[in-house]
Amino acid sequence: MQKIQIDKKIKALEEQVELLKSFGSKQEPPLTIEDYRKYLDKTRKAVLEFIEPTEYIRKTRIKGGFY
Amino acid sequence: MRLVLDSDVLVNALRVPKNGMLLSLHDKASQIFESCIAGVNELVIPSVIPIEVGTVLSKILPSDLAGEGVEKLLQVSTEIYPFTTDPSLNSLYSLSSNLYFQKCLANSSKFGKIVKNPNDKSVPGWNKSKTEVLLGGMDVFVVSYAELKNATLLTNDWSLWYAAWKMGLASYWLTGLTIEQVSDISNGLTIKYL
Repeated sequence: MQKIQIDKKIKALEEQVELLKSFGSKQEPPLTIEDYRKYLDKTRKAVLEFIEPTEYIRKTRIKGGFY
Repeated sequence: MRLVLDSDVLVNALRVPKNGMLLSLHDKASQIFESCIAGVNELVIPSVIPIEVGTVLSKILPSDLAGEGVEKLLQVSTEIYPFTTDPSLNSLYSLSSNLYFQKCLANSSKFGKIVKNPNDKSVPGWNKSKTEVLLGGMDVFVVSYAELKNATLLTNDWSLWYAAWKMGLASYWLTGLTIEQVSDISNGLTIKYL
């Protein structure tokens, strides 16, 4: 039983190492304020639905619909 | 300053609203987000945050734009716990995530329901008709992370802000911040809030 648990932990760590390797090797160019503002401009006319973020997130965090 | 921005603040920062009432919140959130891009403040978040931001943004925006917004968030964050841009810390975080889990677990039993103290009625946004605040598991993840990192939490959710403030964490409620206070935070200054 103990061996199975240790094997599971080792497997989880190995998977994590692989994930971290891919994360660490990801070379992303830094975001500039200009890039960010260009992105915001695109959102200006693209809003599909009115959502008040705070109210919406509060509802999903504690009062999400129960099915 | 090391900042944890809650999901609602980030959604406000990552789209321009059509509704005028939300525009001032967007302006505040956007100014603070830009301070993180500029490196004046350091944005650190737990990994649950970009997931939540993605689910909300994808309801507001077409999916390609929502994805682009989340990508911008990932680029600006220096840490998406338990992942960091510092490879040496990455090897430690697989261990410290256990501490985070323990902290979340300990906080979970304190946070389900918090009875408001009437003596706090002078704080910004006090609603006398509500006698308690209700929080959920996501709130525990966010507030416990801010506690673990000794970071300043910025949320527009009054309930979460109140809970964090009662815990003694440095925390700000976005709606309650004046334009001057937002400017100070954007310049990396700690403000006198209460």
